[in-house]
Amino acid sequence: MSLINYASREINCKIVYYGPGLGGKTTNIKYVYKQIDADARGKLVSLATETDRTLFFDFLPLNLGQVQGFKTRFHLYTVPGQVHYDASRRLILKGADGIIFVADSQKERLEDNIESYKNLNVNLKSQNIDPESIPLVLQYNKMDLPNVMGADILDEKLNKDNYLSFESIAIEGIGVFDTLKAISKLVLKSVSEGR
Amino acid sequence: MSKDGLIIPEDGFNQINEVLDDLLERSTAECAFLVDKSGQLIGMRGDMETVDSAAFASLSAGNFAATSELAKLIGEEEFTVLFHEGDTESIHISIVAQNIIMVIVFKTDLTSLGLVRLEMKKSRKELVKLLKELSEKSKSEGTAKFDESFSKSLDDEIDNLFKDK
Amino acid sequence: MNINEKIKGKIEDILSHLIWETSSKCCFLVDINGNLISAAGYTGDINTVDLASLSASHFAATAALARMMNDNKFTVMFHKGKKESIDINRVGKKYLLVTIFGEKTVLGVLQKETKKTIDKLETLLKQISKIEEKPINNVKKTLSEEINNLLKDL
Repeated sequence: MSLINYASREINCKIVYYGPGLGGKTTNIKYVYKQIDADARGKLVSLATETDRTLFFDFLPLNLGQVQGFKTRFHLYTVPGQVHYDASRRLILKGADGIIFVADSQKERLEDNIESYKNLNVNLKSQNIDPESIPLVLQYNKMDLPNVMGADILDEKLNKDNYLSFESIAIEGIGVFDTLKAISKLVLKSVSEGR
Repeated sequence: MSKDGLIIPEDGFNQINEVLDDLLERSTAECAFLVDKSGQLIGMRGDMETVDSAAFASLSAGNFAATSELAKLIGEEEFTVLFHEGDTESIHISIVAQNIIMVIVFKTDLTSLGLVRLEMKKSRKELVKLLKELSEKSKSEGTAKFDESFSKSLDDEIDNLFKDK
Repeated sequence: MNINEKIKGKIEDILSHLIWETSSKCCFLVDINGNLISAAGYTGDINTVDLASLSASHFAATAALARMMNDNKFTVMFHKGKKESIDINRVGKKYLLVTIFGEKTVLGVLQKETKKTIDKLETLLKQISKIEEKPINNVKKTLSEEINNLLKDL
């Protein structure tokens, strides 16, 4: 949940990367970690299995800098994508202020994307978050692979609510910051308007 | 901001800080963190030099959340206290408000769990009351007061931060 | 790790023995990656997939907290509920023993029997990992022979 501390002059927001397993959520956060200056970020926490699949979450705190005397921070989280980690995944959505849905654009993963998106809606509700009002952007990842669907088709299949969507190749960093910028602006707008 | 967003007013945490300082002194614990269940550090008193406080808060909240969920799985309401004993440091985690947990860190051989629990019990009522007042004030104080220029400045900062090298 | 039916049977026996000796409700052997290996006792009303996932997550977060404080381990104490409680213990490097118990269980007995159970399980699991190492070495040898043969033909 967003935190506005007038006493210490801080604004904190939580952004969660969601999506099917191996879609690129952790890749996104690792890229952000590498690119951002060390003084603008904290430690990257990764709770993963031995084969590097996210088990519980990845976490990265970012400092946006001062605006009108307020230090703004983002807390980025990723959820585990594998189906059997649902109970853990649900917990990470608690207090989320914005969601980046990372879809695997390969044709054969369409069903997984759709299931994951449905799962997101169910889990948001379980955490008392209205899926219709939380800021969300979609990222269509792995656009470098030969068997991907086009962004327009992905929009048709996944983006019925017309959210902003971005194509990406997260492993090369393409589209990572565009997506993050977009959701950050949406979240901060929402916070500063007191919605 | 979700309807659970927390706003801490200007006079913020003074009273809460006093209660925490007092608790730390009486229990000889090293430090106390107030963390919301979504993983955000709300307040901290005491000294934790080597630890990254944001990571610490996030892990404590995650840990607590997993245990709470385990409790629900077996038909219990969430466990109210978690305790981990380490070789040198130990951690005591407890709920102090609907969405806030308190994490107390203490040296295993200097402070006893019994003492922490006892002092925690004494401070609890006061702490719970103060946090409740804070939450009510936060709701009644209503929404954040930022103007359009603030929004625009934030956008600029975002563009600055999220740049490929 | 591939645990065949015979071994699973042995694990189940060890777990059942723990239930019997302690009058606990049920217990589970879970790996630290969130997979359920075996269970014993009355598990009927519990979602075991969720239990495995959450136990592993809880353990991972605990271990990370311990590392942050340069501690080697945190002893995970049991979590006390109103009617039922959960005890989580490490078994070897890669497993967790999760025991759910109620008022019928005497804590001292549980602690004693849990320790015995962990010892038995660790011994059994060590044997499994020794067996596992052999086949992999054989595969490597055969593969390199195959490659040599192919190269000879070129």
